[in-house]
Order: sequence, then C-alpha cells, then structure tokens
Amino acid sequence: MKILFSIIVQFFEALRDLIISVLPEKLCPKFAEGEYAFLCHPLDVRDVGRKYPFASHISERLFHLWARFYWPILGAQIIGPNDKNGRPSKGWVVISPLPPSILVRDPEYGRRMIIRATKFCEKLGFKLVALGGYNSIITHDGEDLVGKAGLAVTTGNTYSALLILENMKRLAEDLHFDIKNAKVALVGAVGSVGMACAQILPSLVGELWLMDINRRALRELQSRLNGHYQNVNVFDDMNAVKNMDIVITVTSTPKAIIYEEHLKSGMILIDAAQPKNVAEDIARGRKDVLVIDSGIAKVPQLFCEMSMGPQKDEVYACLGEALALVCSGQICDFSVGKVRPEQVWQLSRIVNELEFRVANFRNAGGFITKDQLSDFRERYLRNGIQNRLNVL
Amino acid sequence: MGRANVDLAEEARVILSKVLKIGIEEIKPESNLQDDLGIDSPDFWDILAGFEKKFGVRIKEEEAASLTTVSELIGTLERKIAVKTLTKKKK
Repeated sequence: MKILFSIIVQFFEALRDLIISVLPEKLCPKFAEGEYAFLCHPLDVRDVGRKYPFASHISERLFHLWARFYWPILGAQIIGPNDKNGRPSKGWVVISPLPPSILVRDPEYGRRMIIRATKFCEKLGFKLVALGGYNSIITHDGEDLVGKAGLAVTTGNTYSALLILENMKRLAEDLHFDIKNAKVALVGAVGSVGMACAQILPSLVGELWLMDINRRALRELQSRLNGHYQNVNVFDDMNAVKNMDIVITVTSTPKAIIYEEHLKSGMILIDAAQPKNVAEDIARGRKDVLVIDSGIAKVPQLFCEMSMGPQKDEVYACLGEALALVCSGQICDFSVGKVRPEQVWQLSRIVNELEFRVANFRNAGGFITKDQLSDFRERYLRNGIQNRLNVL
Repeated sequence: MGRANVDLAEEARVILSKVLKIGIEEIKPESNLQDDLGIDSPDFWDILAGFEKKFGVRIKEEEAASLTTVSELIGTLERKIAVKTLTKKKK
C-alpha cells in the first residue's frame, strides 16, 4: 500500500514537472517557494533511485533513453541556513536528467537541456541558479547561460578555490608545518578554479609549479604571473609531481590522473576534482601519503530531504556558494567563467560571517582522525622531503 | 579519393575552428593540439561529438588523448571513416 501510494505521488510530481516544463511563465503556477535552485544531475542510473526508487531496477540503456527525453525534475526543498535577518533561506534541488556520460558524449545537446532546465527554474520564480557538477563544466563554467535565462548564475568555483586554500591552511595548523617554503604543484592550473588558486598561491608558498593540458593558456598564465612573482614554474610531465611537498588536483578530467608512480613518502595531496583525480587505492592503501578530498563545507542549520553532501550538515562547494550568496543577499551572477582572486576574498568574508566551515578531513578511506594525522606527521612528514616545511 | 580527403580535412578544421572559436587559418596540420591550439578536456568532448555528428564515427576520448597534432587527429578520423566504409561494403 505504501509503495502504491509512493508511486501515485511520484506520478503526480512527474505530471507537475511536465506542466511546469511546457507552460509559458505567465501561466505557470508557482509550485515551489524559494529564492534559488541548485541544478544538479544524476551520476548514473543508481543515483536516479534516490528520487525514484523504481529506477534502481532499470538497465543503463533504458536509463539513457529516459534521460534524453525526460523533463527537469523538482527534487527537494532546501531550508537553511539563516540569512542575515535571521530567517531561514529557502531553495530547491532541481534535477536536469542528463548524466555525465551523455553530457560528455553530446555536449551541444547537453547545453540545450541545461538551458531548458534553467528556464524551468526561472518559471518557478527562482532568482539564482547554482550549477552543480557537469552542468557547470559543459556550459563553459556558466558562460553559456548568461543572458539566456532571466535569473542569476553561479557555479561554485569560487568556493571550491576558497576551500582548497582553507584546507591547506588547516593542514598546516594541524600538522604544525610552514607552507611558506613548500613546493606546491597545481594540476589543472588554467581551469576556472585553478586559475584563482594559481594567482593566490605564489604569495603563500615557496615554489608553485603549474600544470594543465592546455599548454598554450598555461604559458600565458606563467608569463603573466612571472611579472609579479619569481617562484612560478610550469611542468608537463606528471612524473615531476614526485618532487613536490603538496599536490593540488583540480582538473575537469573525469578520472584519476595521480597514481602510485607519482608519489613520494610524506607527500600531501589535496584533491578538489569531482570525480576524483587521485586514484582511490592511494587513499585506502598508502599510509605514507596524506590524501584530502577538498570541496566540502560544513553549513549550520541546514535541512534537505535529499542528501546534499556526505554528511547531514555538509554540502559541496557548488551548493555552498549559492547558500552563501542567498543568505548574504547577494543574488547576482557570481562564479561565471574564470574565478578571480578578489571573488575568493569576497566569498571568504561572506562565509566567515555565516559561520560556514571547511569540513573535516576525509578521503576515499573515510574520515581522517587526529591520531592518523599525528602518525603521518611523526612517521613521514618529518623525515620525508619536508625539511623545507620546518615541521615542528 | 584524394579530393575526398581534402574535403574531409577541411570540414574537420571547420569543426575545430567553431569549437575553439579561432580562425580556420590558425588550424594548420602541424599545429600542436595543446601547445598551439590550447585544447582542454571540454573542448575535446565538443570536437569529438562534432566529428561524430558530421562523419558518423566516434573517436574515443582515450584515443584522442594520445594525439598531439591536427594532422594526427584528422588522420585518425580518416582511418575510422575508411574502416566504417569498408565494413559497410562487406555487409
């Protein structure tokens, strides 16, 4: 009986979403109360099961067929955190059905569907759309949407960059080392997130080594930075990361690029990519390197029926940034295209006021405890190539 | 046969030019995909999808990642089209 009721509810929800999708804005009832939409996508068929349990039983092929022709889905309401007036902010999860496998295979079609989903959000009366996951990458970090829908756009890339810096700062505090002398590699340096980090890190670290598949843009970036800093270099052979103290990965490559052969004892890896750029077996199997998954924030007073992050009070950067903008009353195009350092500092002030925090350290092996950090520091960080880091 | 290859190369260059938003004259056979044209992963997705729509063959991303110049990319495309044509004839 419960299952039957659930199916009936889902049928009417699907009908509702279809009506929103086809009706013009003026005739569209405002089914959802909220200021922003978090536009995400399923990762695969199992992910669809989080909203529609029956989907867990369909084949990948049937799922792809469904995804190509289905309309946007109003997923779940998000309540909180409180805005600057003490009132809980409200938004909705909106799901654009195309998974990464289709978005990557047919980006032009993907873009059209994402634009359609953005217009769906506009019809519901939302003022801001935050692009999650591949919805941001496929639309050139949101640039393809600006001017195409009557609402503000953001991608979360600024918060991603900020969380990398906050993770580095916290690591330095918890492991008692000095990053001023560190040799740091930034892989994915000319992407939206990488570009901001590349411009901020030279003043914080000893040497900064940049790498990106787009070598033309990489050379241009190096040239620009060398006008202000003497400690910026580039490399194009991944094996060179072996000489680094800290490696930050932030590419849009949807697979691992750092493997065993790239590692050295005592190395710290901050992986800000989704999907992960550091092979999962490294986090699970190598105790002499420290892998930190970046891009997750702890947010107070948050409620959502769908899971928006690894833990109940955690969100990924894409949603976290939207929450910060809405709660501070800054509903405007924010992270669109390449992120600028001044945006990172602006957002830093906002999230600090709202008491958002970088989430606890974790990787594919689970949460990293204080004992594990201490063990890494005493056994590997001290004796490795980290003499430069003045480990206390 | 030779003329068909020239047309194919030209059409492939048009796709590259559209995706990368640069003039077609900048896309030379010896142009390095990363060093000269600055192609990244999202660009590759658009290029490979464009080739598939135009020519009906799919170059896999892993295959494309090992290519370094425009001529290598077009050469791979030509090879796949030739194999597809041959397979069709046999049927």
